[in-house]
Amino acid sequence: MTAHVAETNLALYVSGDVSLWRSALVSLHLAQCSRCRNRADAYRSDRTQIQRIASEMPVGVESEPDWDRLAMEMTANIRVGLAAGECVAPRRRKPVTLGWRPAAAMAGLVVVLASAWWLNMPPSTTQALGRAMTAIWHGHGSVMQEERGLVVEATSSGIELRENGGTLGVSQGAARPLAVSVSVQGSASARYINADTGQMTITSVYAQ
Amino acid sequence: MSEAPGFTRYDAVPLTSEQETRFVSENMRRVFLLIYRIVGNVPDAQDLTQEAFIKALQRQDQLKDLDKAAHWLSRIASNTAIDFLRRSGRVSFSGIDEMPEPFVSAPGENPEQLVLRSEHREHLENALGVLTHRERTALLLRDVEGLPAEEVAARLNCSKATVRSHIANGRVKLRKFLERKA
Repeated sequence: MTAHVAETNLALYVSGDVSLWRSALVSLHLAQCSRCRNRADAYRSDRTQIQRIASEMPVGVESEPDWDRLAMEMTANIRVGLAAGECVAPRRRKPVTLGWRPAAAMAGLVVVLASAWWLNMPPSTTQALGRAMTAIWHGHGSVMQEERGLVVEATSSGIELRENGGTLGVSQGAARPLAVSVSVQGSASARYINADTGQMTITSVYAQ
Repeated sequence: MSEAPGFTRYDAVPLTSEQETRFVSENMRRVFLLIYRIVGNVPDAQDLTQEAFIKALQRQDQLKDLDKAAHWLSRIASNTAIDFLRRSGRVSFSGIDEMPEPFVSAPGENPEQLVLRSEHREHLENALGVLTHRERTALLLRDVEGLPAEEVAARLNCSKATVRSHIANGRVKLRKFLERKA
């Protein structure tokens, strides 16, 4: 008879954790060696015993009331843990997607409300707003108060006011403004910086 | 590990609050036992069971296959326990001795059988206690959870050969301990 099978090989053989070739060799040996066969049976029995005790509750919580109490405590703690987690890092929910019907209805509502707002404005305001938007669209930085014959315009040299063919320029000598801006309320501003002192001067003109 | 019969099958995640409660109650005993067998004491098993469920429910969007919810949860539970052992670098069994032994018998079991069962279990618990935590974890994942060696290797973050070595050494040590005490 050949030498006995190594204990580690027997321990792995019982759970099929050896190669096919080694498994065949061990099987052949066990068929003729009662000592190794008994060892293999003992390892099989140990596996079964471990599986059995693994399904039993540990000492201290093996009675149902004890386990129920522990389970309730753990469940409560899990809830608290989840709530705390929500506070620290809110769980990402699936983003709400709008169907095309609600989206179209909402777009229609926006158009109706915008039209109502536009139509309810005083005509002078809508005209001024329209002109300002046209000017912005065409790149002109000017605000005109035509009903009074007054034009306030921000130019590259400063701010100019024109009325009845006459022009009044507001500037800081030869200095060129750093930035000019106009608003739809009929004002224009120009900002100058003195290169020597760093002082900033802001000139604002309001058309009334 | 196979899905236990009668367990709820979920259609979609995230689970509702009611489904979360059911998920916890249906799996708690199994998860607690798995973690307890790895860490070896009730207080740590209790903390880690809670941690495992919180992790699972917070990451439920990572669950791709709802049919494998129990397997997925087991993986989180065993990883949580293994991480704990890695962090602490120890395995404590003090909890077992400190806990009072309740006098509970299974139906149809007489007092002699109860004593024998209790002694036998204590004997096996002690036998498992002589293994290193890696040997015990490998043995439990292979024999109790029924995972193949490849999966055990993945969970323990080592090679399949190392896992085989842990399993073989664990079984041999366990057998020697039981024979010495017999």
